[in-house]
Amino acid sequence: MSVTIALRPPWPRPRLPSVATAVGVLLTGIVVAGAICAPLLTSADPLGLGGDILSAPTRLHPMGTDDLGRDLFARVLYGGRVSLGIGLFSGLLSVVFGVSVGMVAGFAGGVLDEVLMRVTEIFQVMPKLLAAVVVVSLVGSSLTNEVLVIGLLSWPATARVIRGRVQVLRGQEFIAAARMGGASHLRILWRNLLPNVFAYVLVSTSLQIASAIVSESFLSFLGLGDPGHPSWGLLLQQGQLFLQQAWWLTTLPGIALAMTVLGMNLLGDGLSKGRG
Amino acid sequence: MLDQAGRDTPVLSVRDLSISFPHRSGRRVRVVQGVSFDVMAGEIVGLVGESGSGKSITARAVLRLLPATAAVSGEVRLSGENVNGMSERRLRALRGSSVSMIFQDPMTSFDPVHRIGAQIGEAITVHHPQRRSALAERVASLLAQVGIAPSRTKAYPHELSGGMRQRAMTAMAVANGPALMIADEPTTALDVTVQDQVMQLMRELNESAGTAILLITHNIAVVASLCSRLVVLYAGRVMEDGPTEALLARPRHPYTWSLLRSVPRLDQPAERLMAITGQPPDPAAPPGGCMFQPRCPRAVARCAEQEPPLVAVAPGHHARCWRPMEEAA
Repeated sequence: MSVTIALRPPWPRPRLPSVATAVGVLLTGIVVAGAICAPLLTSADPLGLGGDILSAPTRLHPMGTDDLGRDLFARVLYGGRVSLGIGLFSGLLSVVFGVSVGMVAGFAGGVLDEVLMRVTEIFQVMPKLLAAVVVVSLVGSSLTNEVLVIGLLSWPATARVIRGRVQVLRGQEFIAAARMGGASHLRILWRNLLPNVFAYVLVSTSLQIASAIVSESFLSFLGLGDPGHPSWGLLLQQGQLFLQQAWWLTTLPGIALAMTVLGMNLLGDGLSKGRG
Repeated sequence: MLDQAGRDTPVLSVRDLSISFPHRSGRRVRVVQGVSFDVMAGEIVGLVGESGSGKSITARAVLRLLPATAAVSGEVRLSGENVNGMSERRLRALRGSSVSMIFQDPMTSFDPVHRIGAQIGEAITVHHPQRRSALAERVASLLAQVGIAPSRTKAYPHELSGGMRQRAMTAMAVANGPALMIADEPTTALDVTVQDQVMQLMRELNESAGTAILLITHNIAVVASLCSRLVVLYAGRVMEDGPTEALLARPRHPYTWSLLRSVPRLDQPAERLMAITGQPPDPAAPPGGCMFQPRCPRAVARCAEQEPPLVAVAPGHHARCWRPMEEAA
């Protein structure tokens, strides 16, 4: 058997990230920092009413006010906490679920693989947002419900990617060597396979979080968000009534949303190129 | 592992092992047929055959590492214990502790994301949980034994050369003091000078620890000096087995004879090397009679009609041939 395997590290040497990745990190960083540092950046209450109605951006209200005189800057910053929080948790939920299903299916093969993949396909062909709308209108809108619904509807993509990788890895000799060393299936999954697909898990996570943020905005925009915790989607929904009079009410939360999703996608692309 | 039944129980005993796989035609294809051999304690046995002869499949069947689609019949005993009826738990306890395996490709047999030392350490803790400091010491001494500096325990697999990796693999294989080590083409992926190092290492381990070794190879010359007995496989059948010396000096089966004639030898005057013409048979469409008959220079009509049995040609020496060779090659 001829062997022409180049001596190549399993990942490329560390190198400077591309401009696109750097922009992704920057955009994501700004949005996350803004959400975390909200109380430091503004003293206004995102839910506090004021007399200054539909004011254009001023020094007192850097992003203007809405029809009830609430400070939009505070609402965007605190709204970021809601949007990013829901995005993070439902993104993680979908990745944990997707990775588990994908790893088990890819590693076990056979009947279990068939069953898991058919279930995955059922979830995949469901119109995700429509299903989310139906479920949230049935079970009621709360932050927890939104996280669960978005998370449990968006795992199939991850599951399929991870299953494919595991199927490739499963045939390699180090897995046979691990079995030969007396390792149990669970140990191989956890110690050998998971670390080897981790690059894919990271990429998947950043993309899933971005996509979950968009899904959440969509639900909120349709009025299915939690009104007690205004997210960017809710801001957009409330602002669209005043599109003609107060452009800032929709434009500024929209920009925040766009920055986040663009940033996370660039970050995900950067990570996926780096995985080699 | 202690040999309860005394020294005469082989560490590995394979009896009438047959293995088949499903084929796209819908029928099952037998890739190993009626293979039997023993490996005694402290012995090195060579399992020789060309690609596709079923040698690796046989080795994997010993520890039930074959995919679920494989149908295995016959008996495999490890120190007297039947592997076929064994629970998954008992198998895991045996794998890596009383029987270990070295794989062909040192490039892919380590997990790329863990350090060498950690992987060897894990091979030990799976069977013998112990404190970190003791473990680190044990790993360092194992690596020293195969000639790798202790500082390299922190290296990732890609930072080692092929030869170093194969030696590290060997260190891992002997970590738990196995009674039997199965080495599946351990030197095929290495260059010649490194091959020799690894072979020397095997010999040392065999001599110092008394580890029995089943050495699987396609290169009869490589194993000749190392093995006390050879088993020659062709198309999933044992064609000839016997003591190395007798088998090399007086091969009885034309296949063994052809194999020997196809490798250059330093200890004999240069002769024209002989290639074996033709291809090994397709296991899905085996020839009638003897498996080697279409390529055999000595074949007669009977060879195509009936498959010969494996019969003793001398004490401890068997050949599967209707017309075994009498003269020294």
